[in-house]
Amino acid sequence: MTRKRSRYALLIAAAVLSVCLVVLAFMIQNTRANLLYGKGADMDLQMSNINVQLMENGKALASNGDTIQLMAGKATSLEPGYTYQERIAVSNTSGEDKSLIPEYVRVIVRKYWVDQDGAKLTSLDPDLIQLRYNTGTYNRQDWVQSEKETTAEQVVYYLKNPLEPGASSQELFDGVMVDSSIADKFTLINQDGEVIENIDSITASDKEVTAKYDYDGAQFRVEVEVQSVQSEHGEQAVPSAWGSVRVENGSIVVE
Amino acid sequence: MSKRKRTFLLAFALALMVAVAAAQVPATLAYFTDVDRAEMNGVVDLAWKTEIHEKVVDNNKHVTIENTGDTDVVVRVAVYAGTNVSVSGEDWTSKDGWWYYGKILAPGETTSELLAEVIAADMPQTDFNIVVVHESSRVVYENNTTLKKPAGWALVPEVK
Repeated sequence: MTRKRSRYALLIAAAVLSVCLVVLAFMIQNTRANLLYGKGADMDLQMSNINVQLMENGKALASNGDTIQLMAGKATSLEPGYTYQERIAVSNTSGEDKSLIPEYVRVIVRKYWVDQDGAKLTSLDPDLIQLRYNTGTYNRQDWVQSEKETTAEQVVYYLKNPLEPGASSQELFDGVMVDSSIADKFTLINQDGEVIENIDSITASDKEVTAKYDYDGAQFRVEVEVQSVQSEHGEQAVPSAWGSVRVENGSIVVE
Repeated sequence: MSKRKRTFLLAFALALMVAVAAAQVPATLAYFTDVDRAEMNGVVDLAWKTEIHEKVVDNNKHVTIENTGDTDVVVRVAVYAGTNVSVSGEDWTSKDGWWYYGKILAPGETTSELLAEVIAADMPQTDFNIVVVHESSRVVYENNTTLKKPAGWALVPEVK
């Protein structure tokens, strides 16, 4: 072998060696994650499973592929001002699955008005659709609302501490209500289609006055989405998945 | 040290440096996540409709109100007549000139009768009128146990 060739051979060997070392370094880091999930004395490397479910009125909601309907089968024409019981919680269960892991959980609630075709009506106020918890003993100290991610239409809540396998969370809210002021929002129109300012400005020329309700026949939709992230390595996983929150001393802190 | 050895050591050192540098890049965590969704669709029906039924029997008026719409309503009636007319009805309460029906009227239901009766001894000798006006309003709740009073109404039924 000539000198030049042997030099090249050495360089190639060096390159191969460095690649091997890099791969080895990565492998060592990644295997660490799996080993930590081993349970009990066997330390068998069982594949872990993450699962989060919505619970309505104490029962887990099962999906058969279609979107799960809340208040399914009950009257969905709501009386203004009446609070309908609708207890929403989340749980970390999946039947007999023993491989579930603890997880951080957040719930995104979106509410808006829609027309007959399902298109959003942005002129109607989503604040009139209210998800409530009854006054009294109930309080939501396990959950924290993210002001930063909250808009008129969307509210985001984080469960402060991880949800252990088999556990259910404190209820996020327990009632849904359409605010009674919805019945006060109307426009007075006379027989010629002219708008009348208010009841006191009706004159003799307004022979027929009709009250046109802004919200009559309007439909609304409430979407509830729960997301979970493994609690293991939560300091990295949570901000990576969800952005504007972080984990401090095991609890989620909202910015 | 021979040139060959030197080259080899150099290459090895370089390889080691690359490996160490690469190992400093944090491993991309493929973390576990899950999602679940549900939705609720609701409607608010604010329309309501009622109809008054008046029966005149022996110069007395028998009045009932029927809920001909699709929503719960509350109703009240005013009777304009001379002092010789006495008005009464089961489940009807009088206040400030109006007779309030004491129950929420569900779609299809009719109130009990409100009777406007001329006191026989004071039967007038001329024609007279008993004018009956009815008002109704869609049921709106203040909270789950109380109805909201429509503007100007003195009474509303209790929530059962």
